[in-house]
Amino acid sequence: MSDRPFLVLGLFEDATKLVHAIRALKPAYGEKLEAYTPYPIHGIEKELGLPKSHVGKIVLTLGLSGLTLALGFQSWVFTTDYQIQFGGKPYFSWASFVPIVFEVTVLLACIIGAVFGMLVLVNKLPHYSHPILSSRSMPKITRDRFALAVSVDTAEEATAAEAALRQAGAPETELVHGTDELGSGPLLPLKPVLATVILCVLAGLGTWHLQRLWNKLPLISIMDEQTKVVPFRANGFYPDGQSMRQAVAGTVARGAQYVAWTSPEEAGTMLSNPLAADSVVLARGRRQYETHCLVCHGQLGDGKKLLSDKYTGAPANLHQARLKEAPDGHFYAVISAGKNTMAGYGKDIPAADRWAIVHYVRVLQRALDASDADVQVAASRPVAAVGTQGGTH
Amino acid sequence: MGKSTLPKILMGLGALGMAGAWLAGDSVRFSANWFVWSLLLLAVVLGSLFIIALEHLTRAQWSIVLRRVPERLAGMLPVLALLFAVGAALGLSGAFGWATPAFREALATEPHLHGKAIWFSTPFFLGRLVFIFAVWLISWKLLAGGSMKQDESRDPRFSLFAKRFSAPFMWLFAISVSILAVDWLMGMSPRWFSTIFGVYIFAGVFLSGLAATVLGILHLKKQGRLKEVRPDHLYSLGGFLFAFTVFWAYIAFSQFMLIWYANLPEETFWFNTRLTGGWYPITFVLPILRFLIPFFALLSREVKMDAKRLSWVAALVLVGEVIDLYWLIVPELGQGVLLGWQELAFGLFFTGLGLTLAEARLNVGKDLPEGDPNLDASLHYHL
Repeated sequence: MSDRPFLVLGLFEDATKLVHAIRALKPAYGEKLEAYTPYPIHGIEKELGLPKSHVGKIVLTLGLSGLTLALGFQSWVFTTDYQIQFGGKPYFSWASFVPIVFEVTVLLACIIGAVFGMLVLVNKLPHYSHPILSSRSMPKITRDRFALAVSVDTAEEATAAEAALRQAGAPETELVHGTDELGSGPLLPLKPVLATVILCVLAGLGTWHLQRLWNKLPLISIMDEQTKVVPFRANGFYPDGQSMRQAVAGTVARGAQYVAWTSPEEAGTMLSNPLAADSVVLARGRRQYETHCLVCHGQLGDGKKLLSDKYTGAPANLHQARLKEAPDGHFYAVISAGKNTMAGYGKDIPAADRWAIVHYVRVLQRALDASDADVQVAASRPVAAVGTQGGTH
Repeated sequence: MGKSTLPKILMGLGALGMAGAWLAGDSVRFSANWFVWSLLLLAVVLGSLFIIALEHLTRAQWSIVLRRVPERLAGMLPVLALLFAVGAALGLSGAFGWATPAFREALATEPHLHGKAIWFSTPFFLGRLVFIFAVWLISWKLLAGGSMKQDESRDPRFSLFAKRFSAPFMWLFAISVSILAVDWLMGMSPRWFSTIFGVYIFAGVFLSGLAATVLGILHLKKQGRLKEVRPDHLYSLGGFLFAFTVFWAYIAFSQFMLIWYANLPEETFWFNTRLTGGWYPITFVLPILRFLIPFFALLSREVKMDAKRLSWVAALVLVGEVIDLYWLIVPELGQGVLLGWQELAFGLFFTGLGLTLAEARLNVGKDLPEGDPNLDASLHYHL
């Protein structure tokens, strides 16, 4: 730290006297003035003629960036990169993006913008000290004195500033030595910073090992451990040790339908589609198909799955000759009870919707292999309003 | 023509139009308009009452200097009791969603509505109406009336009493505003339910009270009165307005998102009505008007410190409240977007009535609560 004169402090008893002194010294010293007070005094920045702080602009910019970033990223992920149907909602569901958009906006604006902006612009990191902090007056300024500081370069200037401050009514003045040029004062000390980093790493590792130990030596019982019946887990209550029960032979569960067929082939001969293939039914069928079937059988029903190649199952191509000739009841039975690795959807999709899906599958089959006659029929009719993916819900 | 005659001309024109609307015979539309506008005035009054109680409860000093404005505005309450008596008569004759013959029949025949049948019985409704107005009238008498008396008596014991009274008042206020929200607004669509609805209405009520207070201050300042209210006080008031603008958006979106996400038919139909047809543009405009514009306007310190510019935002908040109430009530009539000369007539009449009442009230008593022992601290309040 150099020993040249840096600033002269004049200590005042209250904020009003400080403001009067600022007004008295402003014409002579102008931008060389700065005030140090025990608490913020609103409006004093105007008296001092300080330029407007940039923190507000930084916060607004970062807030808007956070908003754009979160909204853009979620839109891209959910509409382009990894489309997943959630409960039949459109891919671009802005309402579900809002909480994350809000959080990221606040995060960038407050933490990055306000806190880091303040640390760098106002507190002047990486400087962590300032000559005034080692002055005699500092304890008084943090308690009950209001200081007006005048920047000086030479001893003569310091004497003049001291006289001016006394004349403005300061009962007490102090000359502070030092400089605030970057690199001259102490910078952030390396050892404490390193020590903090090492402590953080150690604490993280310790927590990691502790939580691994926790499962083996539970100090308290947690709600995860209960003696109740949990699906798919062993349970000692029943003689066979299983928690999930089979229906009693010859009974039909409440709300369920009596199923007479035992195979898709049998269903094909026994059942026929009870719904008319009108636009409402087809829209319903399309929605249900896209919600439940599309991930495996593909947008066109051609068996080109959207799932990762790591899933090695081969979903059926619905356009193969065997399935084109199969009766409606066959499809209904496979949707209801499943086939090979495909699970049954009887519990998830109401019967009417399963029949609607069958109609929609027929539409896909005919559309992908349309004859000239079909195209003419389609061209001669107005396009039926089959529900689209988008729209509001 | 003086400024004070304009509200009376509005009232006269509006009254003519309203008479026409009554003779036109669509009593449900007439009642719905009546609800929208009398609820706006009530929101101003209840918001004012809440500001007074909040100040006493927290022993806030900054707002003592402007407390006379909400205290006087709350004095519109007796007139509102009359308006709501008329409103109850209109509503019970079939304008309330829960008082329509169709819903009355459903209450008797659909077993899952039996619980609601108790709530929506006429005597119980009238009992609740009397109870909530009794709570508000008594609280107004005690808080505002007591404060006026303190001007003469200079008795500091009133301040202590007001603080103690404000604590149970908050509790009663929460219940009474929820009852108001359920009976008069949520009850327009009696099959629908949302547990956050009372909070949503409270957000609008508090915003309206704050906005009316700002406008009242500007009105007095224009006459050269209430010079004691400085930019420091306005800044704090503007801060409240800003905070509750965000609060309104937070509550409104919470309500929407949970219902949208769960996608249960017994909840979604309410929003579905408002997101289709002619209601969609209004639903779209509402968050812009009630959140985006006031939010960015109030970010600025200069706006919050300037009575004139703050009043523009306050006026916008009140416009937002009318549109909000209209958006809550009118879609339930099932007649589409109703915007015609009848709505204009109601707007003119009630704007005129509100301005006339507010102007008359703002001349009652002294401009400052001179008997408040902390008035001096408020006069010297600095940010």
